[in-house]
Amino acid sequence: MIIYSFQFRTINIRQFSSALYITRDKAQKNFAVLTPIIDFDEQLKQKDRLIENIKARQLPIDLNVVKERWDFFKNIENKKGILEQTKSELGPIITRLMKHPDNENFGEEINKLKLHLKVVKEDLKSLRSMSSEVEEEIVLQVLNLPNSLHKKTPLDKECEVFSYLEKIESTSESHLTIANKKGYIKYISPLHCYLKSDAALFERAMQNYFNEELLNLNYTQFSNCDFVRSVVVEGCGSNPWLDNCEVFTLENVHNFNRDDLNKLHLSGASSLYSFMAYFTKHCLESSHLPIKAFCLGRNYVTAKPCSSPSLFHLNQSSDIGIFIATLEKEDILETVLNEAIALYKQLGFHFRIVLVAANKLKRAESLRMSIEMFSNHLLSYVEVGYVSFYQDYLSKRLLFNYNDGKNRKYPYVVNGSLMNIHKVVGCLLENKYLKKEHLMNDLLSKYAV
Amino acid sequence: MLFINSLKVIKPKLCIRRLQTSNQQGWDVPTAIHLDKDFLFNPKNIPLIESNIKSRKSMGNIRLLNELYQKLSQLNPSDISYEEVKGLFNEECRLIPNSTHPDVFEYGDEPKIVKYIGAKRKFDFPHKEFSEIGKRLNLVRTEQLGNLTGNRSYYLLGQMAELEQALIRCFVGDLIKNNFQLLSVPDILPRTIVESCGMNTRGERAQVYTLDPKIHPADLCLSGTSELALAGYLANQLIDETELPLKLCSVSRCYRAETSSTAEERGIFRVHEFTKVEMFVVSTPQQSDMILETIREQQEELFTALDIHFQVLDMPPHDLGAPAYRKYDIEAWMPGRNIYGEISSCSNCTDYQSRRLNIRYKDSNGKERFVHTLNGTACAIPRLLISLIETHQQNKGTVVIPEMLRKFMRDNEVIIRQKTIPELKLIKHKK
Repeated sequence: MIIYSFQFRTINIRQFSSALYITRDKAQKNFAVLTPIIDFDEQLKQKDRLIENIKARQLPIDLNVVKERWDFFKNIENKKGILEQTKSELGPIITRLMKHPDNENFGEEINKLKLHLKVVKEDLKSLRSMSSEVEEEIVLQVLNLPNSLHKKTPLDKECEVFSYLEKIESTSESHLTIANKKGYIKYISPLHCYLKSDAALFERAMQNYFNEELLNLNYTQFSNCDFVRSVVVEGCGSNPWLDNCEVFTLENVHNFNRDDLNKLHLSGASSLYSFMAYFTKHCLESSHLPIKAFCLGRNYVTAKPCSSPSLFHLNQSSDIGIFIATLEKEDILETVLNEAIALYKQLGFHFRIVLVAANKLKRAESLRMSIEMFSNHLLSYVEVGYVSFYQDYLSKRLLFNYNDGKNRKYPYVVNGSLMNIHKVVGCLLENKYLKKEHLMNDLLSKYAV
Repeated sequence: MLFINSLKVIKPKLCIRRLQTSNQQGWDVPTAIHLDKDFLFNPKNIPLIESNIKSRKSMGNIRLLNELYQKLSQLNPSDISYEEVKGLFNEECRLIPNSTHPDVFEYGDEPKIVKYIGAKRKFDFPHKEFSEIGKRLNLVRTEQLGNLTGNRSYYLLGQMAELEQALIRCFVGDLIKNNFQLLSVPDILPRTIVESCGMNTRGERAQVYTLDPKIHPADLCLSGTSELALAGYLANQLIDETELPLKLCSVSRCYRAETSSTAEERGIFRVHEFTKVEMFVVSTPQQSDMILETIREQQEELFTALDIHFQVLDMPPHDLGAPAYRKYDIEAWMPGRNIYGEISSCSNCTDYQSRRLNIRYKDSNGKERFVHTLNGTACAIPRLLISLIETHQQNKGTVVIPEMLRKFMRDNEVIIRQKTIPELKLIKHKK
């Protein structure tokens, strides 16, 4: 039989789990929320570009191996198709034959056909049981491929596109030391940090400032969910099954479906995940684009190892999340850049904006515009805000689309945190300590209450 | 006014009960409860404590606790059964509730209605429920979210999200004017802190989310109210009497795993996550009764200014939970669903939390005593929105914004249909 000619590596233990791509064998226990768009064949038309992209990002991916596995998977799918077709053709033939039992050679014919059908069914069954593993392995590899690179993404090193005011070169004590002297912060661990006194007022004032200014820039206010499920996390390019995943995972409560792959995570209302969850598996009219939204809220990320306590590596921060969805292929880098510059300039402190090098991007990012302030203690720049450009990478994975006449198209998505307020408090404490200035300036005092 | 950074750290003295914790995540939290032994283990008090437990419908058993106390005191820590008895003793300790205000003792099972403020609005048009108004004006989304953001999740959109921020800004501003100190608090707390404040974190009826211990450090819970973080902030602190009352406030996200399937609690009435402005006051035992009244009056003033109708209830013993000695609930009229719904509460927890978290003050004679802690909701968003939107809806379908919030909402007077929020169509097929 045809199928026995296949040679493939048997995977004894399923090493892969996904809530985003649920194979047939797992669909009985897990509800498949959606099936992401997989356009690997389309991507392969520009294979050289993809290889260069992977190289620039310094990713450990061998595209040729991925392609080989993909071809193998497609081959299995073809064989499955042939067997399914054979099965569907044999059925009616047998039924027809059964109506004429008097025909010569009836017994021999019918037994032959029945045996053929039995073999086809068995082969199909065994092929299906094996193909799920192959399918999951290769599809997850394909989903793990990076987004294409934006033409402005620097290939070797970051590129500064804007700088405001001069940085102070002097060295200061660390912001936590300064904060302790001033009674601004109680730092217990990256998970547990209190802002007090002017630092707490600064947080509120900054939220109120961005709230008003973003409304003036015609952004629509959203108040998002802090929880998201695994399907959204994966759809956004993170892997909730890996130890280093940036979202927190919650323990199932009340014994609710413990085997569910689609777990609950804590990511924060201002995060990309929460915005994408809103649009996942939904379609809108093109006339509604562009969508410009913002959300003042928490951002929760799992800790990255850090040598010393700092506000730069907290698990919980207050952020100004923005989300923009535009028509396909619309590039709004200039617009977003100018808005970020205008919003920061009014605050009256030194900052710069850089375009991040390809090897510093997350796989889902096509371009990342990083807003940085200077830490006088570390004597280096710290990212205090960012805007990432995702093109249609996320909208295809999470089925967020719009109608363009009779065509279904996928919006270009831009998302970021214009400000991580805790990080700004850290930098400003160090900057202002040297200048003997207060954390709250006149502008922010107006927004404090 | 005391600035909270001037607090001193107390080194814990000999204590009786160890809290069940394996991971304190760098917190300076007492590892034992300072039980009021003179009261709890005096046989003469058993009938009184028993009566209190019964009227609060609590699971506690004071006789068993006394027996275990006696047994434990006779055992040597090296005895084989010592640890087992100690475990049982600790568990029983957890079940003994705070005592109850004598006035409240008399109420039986029903709350006492303290007062009504305002009156039920009379509508001369068929008025709608929050969810209907929210949907029509494109202000809220609650549908098709279970598989993406969890059950009972919701998004507030456009002017509804602006209204949320306006309420926070208005309430925080008022608290700061009233000498509350603003703190920005962590939302993920060690189990010890949560349990020390009187909340159950384990078992089928727990309302507390826990981070998955297979992935993250064990015993980390999501805070259900910033009262927990504010109380935890003061753990092991010694405060001078002249600095009391100490008034703190915060804005935080609250996470609650509670479930509900009653029709009255549909929509965003009972949700798993919401924003809340919280008040937390630390006082001497002599001040706490009076301060509870002050907190209640402040809540009443703010809700009155929002022009909503509400009733103030003095809650009966069985509604106090374990920590509260007395609790007032404020229930706002929600004309769309034709009920009074709880939008706020304030509690006097006396020394229940301070004994668990070792929060003391030094009185004028230099003696260290346990403080009393009080907490109150200044503003819990979802239910306040229900009452506001349903009360101020207009015949044309729009909603009038209360006067005091308009300056925080670009001087708009009404909430109208949100045209910038796109109409979404669910993609029904999987691809």
